Amino acid sequence: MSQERIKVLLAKKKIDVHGRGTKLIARELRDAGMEVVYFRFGVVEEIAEAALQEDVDVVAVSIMTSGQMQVARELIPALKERGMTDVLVIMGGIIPEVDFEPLRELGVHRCFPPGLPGGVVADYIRENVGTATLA
Amino acid sequence: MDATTDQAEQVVAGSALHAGRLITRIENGRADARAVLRSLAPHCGKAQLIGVTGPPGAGKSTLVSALIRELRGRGRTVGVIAVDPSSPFSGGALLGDRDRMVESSSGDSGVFIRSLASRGASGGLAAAANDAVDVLDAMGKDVVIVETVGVGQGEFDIARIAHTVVLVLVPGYGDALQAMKAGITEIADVVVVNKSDSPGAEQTFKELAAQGFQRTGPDGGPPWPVPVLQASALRHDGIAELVDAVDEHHRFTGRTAWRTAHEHARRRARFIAFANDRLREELLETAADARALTDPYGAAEEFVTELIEAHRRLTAHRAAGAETEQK
Ligand code: B12
Ligand SMILES: Nc1nc2c(ncn2[C@@H]2O[C@H](COP(=O)(O)OP(=O)(O)O)[C@@H](O)[C@H]2O)c(=O)[nH]1
Ligand SMILES: [Mg+2]
Repeated sequence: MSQERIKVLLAKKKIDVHGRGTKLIARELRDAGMEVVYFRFGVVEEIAEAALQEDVDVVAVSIMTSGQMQVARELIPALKERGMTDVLVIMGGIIPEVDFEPLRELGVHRCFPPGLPGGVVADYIRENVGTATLA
Repeated sequence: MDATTDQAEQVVAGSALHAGRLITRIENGRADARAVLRSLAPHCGKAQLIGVTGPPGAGKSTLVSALIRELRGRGRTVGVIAVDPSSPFSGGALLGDRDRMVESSSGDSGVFIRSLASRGASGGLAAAANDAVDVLDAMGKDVVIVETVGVGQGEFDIARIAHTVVLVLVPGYGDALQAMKAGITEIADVVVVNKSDSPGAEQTFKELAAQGFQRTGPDGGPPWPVPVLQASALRHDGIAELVDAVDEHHRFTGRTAWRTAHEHARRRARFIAFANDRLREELLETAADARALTDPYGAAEEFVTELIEAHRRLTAHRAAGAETEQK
């Protein structure tokens, strides 16, 4: 009897007041059968700590007020340092598309632009969870 | 070293990675997790277990955060298991408790917080909660706090796990509070009226404090007068007093039949859970697959009767064997 569920850490900066997008994504993922730990971080290390203790399959970061490059630069090594090398890392929110490739190079598996139809993020997670590595 | 011993040793050594992964395997009902739990058993039983329950929005998570800060200030390490409900429709869940606890735990390896979805379990907890508590206990956390789902009623499972159950209430519940008074003596060891910074708190506190709640002990155990406190989790008011009251209850029960009864109840719950899991996996699923099930009730009745009969014969056979040996 399989009771496995995809667990997602959905993180957003504490100082970022934009809450609608993350709430929407959180509900979408829940309704797709996933367990979503929602939380607001002060420093990037908190995301890695939470990912470790919660043993999530996916780390999703919402970026509404820029700073995506810095977050990625700190987050990926922090995850690797803790042995979380098979976690899927995604970002979404207001991120300029020119940053998508550099973010991928830093180790972010996928960035999502705003205004996507419902289901896209959940489908991507389902298809890619468990296959990702942070090499 | 085999995998089981290795995993157990990593957890005992305090590895958050191994503890986190083990809890996931427990949640998923994996047989290999049970073997690790068994190896961990000798390292369990040291932690003080605190339950935090109460209606949604009462401030349970915020209060847990305040407790973390207070306990860390006193040099005690803390583990937290926070349970939120799963959606009965999708099976998914929104786990929001951790969000309230970030500030008091950030960058502190003395704190380990794990959110669990209830996954259909009734009783205010997740099926994995009892074992997850053991993992944090074996990790060496001095105190393990369990936050229940918080539907407000029927959350009796927490009393079977925690040494001390803290019931969090807030002003302005009116009728709901009246209804809960009946349940207080069944579950609460300490009552705290949270949000003392908001209007009506004083009134609610006085009303509850005047009740003189008492919990009757198990056979031979003296009754415990339930203290009623007030606190503001948000402002960190009354938190030291709360920790003192919880510790006082822990000392009190430790000296009496309360603790023996509690420990027996936990072992009993564990026996039933383990046996239940294995029976389901190794007997029931196969039995169900092997039958036509046109009459599921009849088939179940017949199957269970056969099992009981077989077990009765085995027991009799063993007893006879033991007698022959003695002769
Ligand atoms: C409403 C709004 C506000 C409200 C927020 C209210 C609230 N509580 O949510 C208020 C007025 C408070 C506000 C404040 C500010 N805002 Co504003 N705000 C907006 C606005 C108009 C809409 C945002 C919104 O709610 N959209 C609806 C939701 C459903 O969509 P969404 O947030 O984009 O989320 C979707 C996707 O992005 C995606 N998504 C989001 N997160 C994630 C995460 C993952 C992992 C994934 C996969 C997907 C995903 O999924 C969602 C559903 O499709 C946008 C402009 C815009 N059109 O986007 C600006 C905008 C986001 N704000 C902006 C700015 C600059 C600010 C302020 C700094 C303004 C200021 N100078 O004071 C402050 C920020 C203060 C702070 N500390 O955070 C900029 C950000 C620019 C940037 N990133 O480069 C924007 C883009 C406006 C602009 N064009 O300049 N804002
Ligand atoms: N005014 C006030 N609000 C509080 C206090 N403690 C918690 N809250 C608020 O009550 C709401 C629910 O808190 P939460 O801890 O999530 O409650 P839970 O559902 O019982 O876990 C949040 O908005 C908190 O900020 C308090 O002591 N005073
Ligand atoms: Mg809560």
